[in-house]
Amino acid sequence: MTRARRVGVAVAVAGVALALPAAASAHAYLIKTVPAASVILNTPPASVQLTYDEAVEPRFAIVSVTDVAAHSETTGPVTRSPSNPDTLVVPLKRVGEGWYLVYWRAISVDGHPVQGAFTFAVGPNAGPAPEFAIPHIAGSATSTPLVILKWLAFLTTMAAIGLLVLRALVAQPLVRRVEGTTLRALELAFGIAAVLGLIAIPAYLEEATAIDSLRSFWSFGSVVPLWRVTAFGRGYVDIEICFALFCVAAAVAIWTDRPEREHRPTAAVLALSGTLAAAAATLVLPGAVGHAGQTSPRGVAVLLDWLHLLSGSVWVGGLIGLLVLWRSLPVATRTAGLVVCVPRFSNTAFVSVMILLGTGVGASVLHLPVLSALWLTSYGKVILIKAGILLAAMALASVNLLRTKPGLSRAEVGEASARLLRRLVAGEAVLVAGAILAASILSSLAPPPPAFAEEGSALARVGPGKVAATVTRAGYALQVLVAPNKAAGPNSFGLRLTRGGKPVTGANVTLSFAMLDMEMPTQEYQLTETSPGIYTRKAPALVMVGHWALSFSITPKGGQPFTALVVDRAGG
Amino acid sequence: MTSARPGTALVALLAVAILAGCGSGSHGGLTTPTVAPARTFTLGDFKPSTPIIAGRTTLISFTIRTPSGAPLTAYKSCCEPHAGVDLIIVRSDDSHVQYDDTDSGPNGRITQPVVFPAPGRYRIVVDAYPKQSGPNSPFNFQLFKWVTVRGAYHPQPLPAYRSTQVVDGYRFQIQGHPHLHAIQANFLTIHVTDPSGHKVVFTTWRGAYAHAIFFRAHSLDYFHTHVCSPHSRYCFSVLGGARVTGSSQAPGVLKVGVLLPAPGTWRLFLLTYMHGHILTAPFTLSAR
Repeated sequence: MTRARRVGVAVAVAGVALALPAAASAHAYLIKTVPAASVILNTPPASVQLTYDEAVEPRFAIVSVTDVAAHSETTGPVTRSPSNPDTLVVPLKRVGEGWYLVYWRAISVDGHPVQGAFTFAVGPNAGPAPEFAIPHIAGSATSTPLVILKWLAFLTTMAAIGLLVLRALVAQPLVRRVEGTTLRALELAFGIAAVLGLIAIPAYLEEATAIDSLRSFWSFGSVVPLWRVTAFGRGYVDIEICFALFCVAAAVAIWTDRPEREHRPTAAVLALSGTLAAAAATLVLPGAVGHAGQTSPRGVAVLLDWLHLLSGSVWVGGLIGLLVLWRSLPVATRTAGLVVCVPRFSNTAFVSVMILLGTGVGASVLHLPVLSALWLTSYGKVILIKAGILLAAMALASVNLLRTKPGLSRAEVGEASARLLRRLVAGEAVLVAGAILAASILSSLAPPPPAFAEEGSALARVGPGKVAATVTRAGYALQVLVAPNKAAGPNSFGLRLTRGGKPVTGANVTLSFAMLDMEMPTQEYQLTETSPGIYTRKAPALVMVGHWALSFSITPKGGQPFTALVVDRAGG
Repeated sequence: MTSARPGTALVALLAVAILAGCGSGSHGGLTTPTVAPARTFTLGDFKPSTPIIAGRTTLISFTIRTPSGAPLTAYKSCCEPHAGVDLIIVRSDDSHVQYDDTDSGPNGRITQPVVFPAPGRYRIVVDAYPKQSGPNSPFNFQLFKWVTVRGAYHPQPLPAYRSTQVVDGYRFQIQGHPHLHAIQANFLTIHVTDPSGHKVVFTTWRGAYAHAIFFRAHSLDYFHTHVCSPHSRYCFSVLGGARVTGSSQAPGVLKVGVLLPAPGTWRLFLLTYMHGHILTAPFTLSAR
């Protein structure tokens, strides 16, 4: 095979890999329950069985079954069904006649918690359907301690990688060009960042696993064995291993390097190659186990995430490294030393920032279904905040690039430029650390689901509580009726269809439900005309508290079909 | 940089990690959520709270409380037999049934004098038809209450199936041998003749020619259906999403719609109104 052909094949393989769709949906969703939702059974069930679209972990799952008085009816822990790994089973007491609430919470393979509730009754004389208060465990992926730990893990890991890059590729000529200087302070800073990273990554994983399994951070004996249960946990264990390998390889690379020599020793080159490979592997994993790994096209999303982290690492680590150099260089040689390092770093940082910008925009395009999600969703708002912080950091960087860097070489302003550089770089480093904090929050939030794109065409936003809202569409007046508009139980959905004040009879009306707060399968029901122009249906469609897109597809008798979308907020 | 600074940074990170970890609480096991009691219709302030004496008139009184806690005061009045509040009392051995149509006071308090014939446990069925306030308010619902009548309880064995029952000279005869199946609509054709052997001309009582009240042996599961004239608009019974309707199209013949929710032995109390008297014809039936 010729070189050109090999390159062609490699490009083709890479293209196919990048175009691969996401391997899994964002979250686990419940596809079947036994007993069925809202059913009235004549004999008490021995257990409640919940089947998901993926094999959720029973040790992380909660299934609570309570009667109207809130007494628990379960007799044992949640287990996996021996006949179906996607099914969770919880045994029940011999329950009497009456209504029961099943509340469930499970952790998706991607590490995100999902929850829902439904009711069933044991009859034949179960009595009237009660109004259950649906419990809700707040999404804890964005809890302050967890975000702080995630930020520390990212900041220290990225700083360590960036410091190593600065030490090995940018500042290395300093020792030869400015007499009496060493890179010891940079190596020490790298060592500190590496140690902190090695502590912060498992600390974050421990906290995330403890929160997901509703256990204490300190219950190491029960939480640590759960680390590798989800893909998310396995991913972070892999990150820790890769980062540890990176640290070892970096230590060897620093030990074998001889910066005072013109050429690197072969051992140092090999060690540095291994170090950079380990760094690349460390930085590809957060995307692979995070949102990027579940976004289509998966290859492109993971590549963008990897480049984003890589360029961010070079930037933040380099800024910290420059500050360390500024502090560690003797006053007499400080400006000379900075003259060697700053221009080389500026070039690297410029490229990094450009990549950071491009990949950030690209990732936003992939994750946001519509532009309005940028200001209408928490995910979009955090992107805007992060972009704002980065733009401020880039403003400082541009001052350094255009004013401070040229000033360092001029004898009359060299000292002043060095002082200004320290202040600007410190400010820039703080801002980039802030951007990493924003990124930590961002990666803890679920991106808006594709159904969010429908929200822009909503004719009205209704709920919580009983709904009787009138909208107009295609010359028809539609009164949308939802009662009681509460999740986890049967709701009655109605549409009063009129034209010119007269009821429109004989229309074909279907109603579809799409969950807007997280990815779930769409449900569709046919509505029945119960009185002239009034189409109704009772259905247990609102399975979760939150925002639902209610899309009415209407085909009037002898008329043109049309759709009308209303965004409803279902209460608990 | 001095060597004290990295140590300080390390301690600071550990402190943050410790503080962060504290955020998840200090409990060791899996935490289940706190579930609040549900809001539902209930029987409130049920009386008597003192022991009941057999053979004496006892004043049963209660208030039906809505999920909000307020008393239920508005009932359907338009659509007999589905109107108001029915009070049905059955002894635990299925030997006795009593059916009363009640009225509620302005405060929603329902009071009914009842005579319990013998000691034992009785299940009181309150079958309520609230005035519908919205599309999601229930058509009707039942609430249940067990009471004990003081004295030695001597249960009577459930009689075997007999196709014919004679009550006050009136003869009630089930046509053929019924083969009933649970959760399936079945029909019983019952021929009724008066003491002189003539076919009975039925009178509407509480919205129906006849009320067929079923109680399952031992569990006292309850099902109630009606037999009406063919033109009656509201004469049906509901079980789950299914409706069953009985009718009488000729004198002396009742076609009783049966939709039993569970298999087993059931006691049918067929109540008809004849010349100012309520006749209760009891049958023992089996459903597979």
